[in-house]
Amino acid sequence: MNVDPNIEADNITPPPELSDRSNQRWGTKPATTTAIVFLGLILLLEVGLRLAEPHLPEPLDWPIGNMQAKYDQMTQIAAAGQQMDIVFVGSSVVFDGVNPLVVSEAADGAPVYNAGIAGAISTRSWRWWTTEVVLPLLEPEMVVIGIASVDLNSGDHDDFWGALTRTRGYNRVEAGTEGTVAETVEEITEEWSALFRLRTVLREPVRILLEFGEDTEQDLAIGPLGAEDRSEALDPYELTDEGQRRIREGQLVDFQLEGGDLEQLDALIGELTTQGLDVVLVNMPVTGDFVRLHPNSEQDYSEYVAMVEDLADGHGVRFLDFGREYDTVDLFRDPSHLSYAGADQFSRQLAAELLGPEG
Amino acid sequence: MIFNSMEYALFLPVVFVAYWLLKSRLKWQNALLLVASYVFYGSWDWRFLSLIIVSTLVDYFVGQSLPRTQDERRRKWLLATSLGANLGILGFFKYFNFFIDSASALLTTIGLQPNPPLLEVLLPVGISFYTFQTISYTFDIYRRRLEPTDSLLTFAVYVAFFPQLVAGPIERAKRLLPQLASPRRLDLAWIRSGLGLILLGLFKKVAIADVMAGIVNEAYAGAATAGAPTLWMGVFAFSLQIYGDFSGYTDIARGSSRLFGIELMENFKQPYLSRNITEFWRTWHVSLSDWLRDYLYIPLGGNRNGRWQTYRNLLITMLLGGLWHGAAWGFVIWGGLHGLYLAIHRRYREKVPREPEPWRWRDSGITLVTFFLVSLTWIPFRAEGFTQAADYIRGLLGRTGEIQESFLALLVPALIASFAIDLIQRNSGRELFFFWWRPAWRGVAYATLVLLIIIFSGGQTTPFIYFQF
Repeated sequence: MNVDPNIEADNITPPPELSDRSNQRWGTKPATTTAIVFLGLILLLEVGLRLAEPHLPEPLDWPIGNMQAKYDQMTQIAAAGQQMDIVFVGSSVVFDGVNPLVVSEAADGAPVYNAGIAGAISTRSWRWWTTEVVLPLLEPEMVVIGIASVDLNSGDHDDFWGALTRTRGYNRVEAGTEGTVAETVEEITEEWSALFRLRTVLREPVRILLEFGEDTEQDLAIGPLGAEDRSEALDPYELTDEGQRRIREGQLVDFQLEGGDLEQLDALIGELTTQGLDVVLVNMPVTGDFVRLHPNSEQDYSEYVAMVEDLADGHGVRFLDFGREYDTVDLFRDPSHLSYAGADQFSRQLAAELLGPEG
Repeated sequence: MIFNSMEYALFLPVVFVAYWLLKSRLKWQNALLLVASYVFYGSWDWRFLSLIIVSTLVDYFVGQSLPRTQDERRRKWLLATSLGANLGILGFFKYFNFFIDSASALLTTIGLQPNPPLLEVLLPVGISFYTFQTISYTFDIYRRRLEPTDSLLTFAVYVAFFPQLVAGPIERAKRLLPQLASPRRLDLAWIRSGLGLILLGLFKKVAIADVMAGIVNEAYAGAATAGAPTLWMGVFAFSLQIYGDFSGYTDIARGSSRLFGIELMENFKQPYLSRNITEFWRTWHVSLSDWLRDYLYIPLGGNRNGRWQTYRNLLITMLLGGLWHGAAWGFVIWGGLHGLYLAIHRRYREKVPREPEPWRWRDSGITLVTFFLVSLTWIPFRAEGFTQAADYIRGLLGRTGEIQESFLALLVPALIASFAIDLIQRNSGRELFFFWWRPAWRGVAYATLVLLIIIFSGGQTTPFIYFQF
């Protein structure tokens, strides 16, 4: 009945789900069957996931395990009210190459943290990580940025940034939504249900197939102050043909320095210096093999070093060049990453440079 | 408060229960809907509620005054008052900086150095939708096709009804007002179908659109550097994203509305199964296409004044339709391209007339061609400026790069799911096709949808794309 006599309705054709009820299999019995099948399937999956949980990959809030471990560790440091004097930031060359325990010891126990991230990392990603996560949590006085030529190669495509922005960790930091009602409800649900707890893992069926039953704890293992976990021995340095191909066609493909990565580094240094922080730019050690694998070998590498030096000069920050410091591969685990012994030796030298003769 | 948020999941059941506790008290039910709608809208920014209230009052009183006078001049003044108020609000909040900026750029090209005032104006959410809705009300009364409602309360609910307030469908008064003015009764079939639509809409939004957003964001961020395979995947991913996002929103809006016994119009009718661009615009964002046809294309002369006038009218309508989406030249280009396609298709149909036929499998080829064209045309719509759009197109045409398997693993299932849902809906003629399945299979369908929603939800709540328009 239309109670407003002024209005004459347009013809509204009811949709079939409202008009054509005869064909629908509704009623108490069919509805019960539907409900039983629905609940049964959900329950079955929940039970199955609970049983399989110990064998499934760890659900991550960040794209890679060491990022999650470092985020958790830095959050704990911040919660304890501690601050760091020096933080090291960068990609895997920093993650593997700097032993914060050695630097801290050289600095008479001053708090030092290695916030470098290992994995398929990009300059844009670790710029964001530095400014949005590391600085607010650790409030350092000095930021040491470690880089290698691979970090500034704009020829390789940055697919890590996309992966990072899809993670819950990134979105929580961006939205600052921790502690809202929605977050609390979500946390309770995750505690209560394996289906909710493991949903980020379920999004990656390939990862489940590859890592099912494997011990993924190692990915999350990390030493104090962001140091690398050294519980596993490293294989000796070896550069196979396949390894060379991967570096040439992967990390150093279409090597070009002008572009996004350099701009990201430029912006990062600018942001840090604007905040009044003491910034040091360090060219991290690499092997001669790595230099040779650049498309134009030494020429590319020299251009890279000159460009980074110019960048540091432009911002008025210190530049330390350790790029060709070691001419032996004994201190490396692969062409661009230091071994445990190499990291210790480099960290001692770096600490001496950073702290100066007076410590 | 957006539809895929925890806040809405709490808000909707509370309003639902309160609403049906008031059954048989129509005015109270409408008052509740109005308060709920204002709370819903105020959750974004309560200050912008004043704009809705102004728009409501102006059009209510203009609507009341129009039938009381036969003086054409006065009637025109009344219409101009409504248009001035609504388009004034829209123009100021949405287009002020755009026009000032564009005029400034134009003056710069002829050697002048203007220093125009730009305002820090926030865009009120949903402003384009509710202003178009109120304009249509007044216009229909002016054209003597609608009698005004006497009830300010009913009219206020018509303007602000929360399921469709921020992103449509742009409802006509003739459809929605009678429903708001009539008693509703609690009907299990309506509740059931409402929940079904909400479930389907959430699936489209969370498991398709938001998943595709990851690919799209990365492809467009890398417009200048990413390889062609990534950029091509970005093109098709955006097609799925915007469709899943907007049609998912519409499903949730219509589902929510059905919970209150009110039927909103279908805004999407499997548009990616269209065999030509004309068909696409009959099935994509139908409420906007209808609005543009009735209040812009036909008043411009429609197809009544010869071929070239028709083409001109199509182009103007689509250019303005593009501009309706946002104050940026990318939207105008997108609209202009669609206007051009429509004109070309119209000319083709004049030469090769054909009666409309139902979709058949043999139409797959031409359907894919149309989908491809529509997908490419989304580039200026999605890109942030000319430079990014140009970089993107250059990259598509031959920049080398590897196929990212992780993207492909998401895009292919999403394409299959999206087209499969549309095909089943089109062939069965039933939106909620699983309602007709055997009870056990229906249980499987619900479980699958719920599982996929759970798996792909969590973390960030992504706003609907059309909320910004």
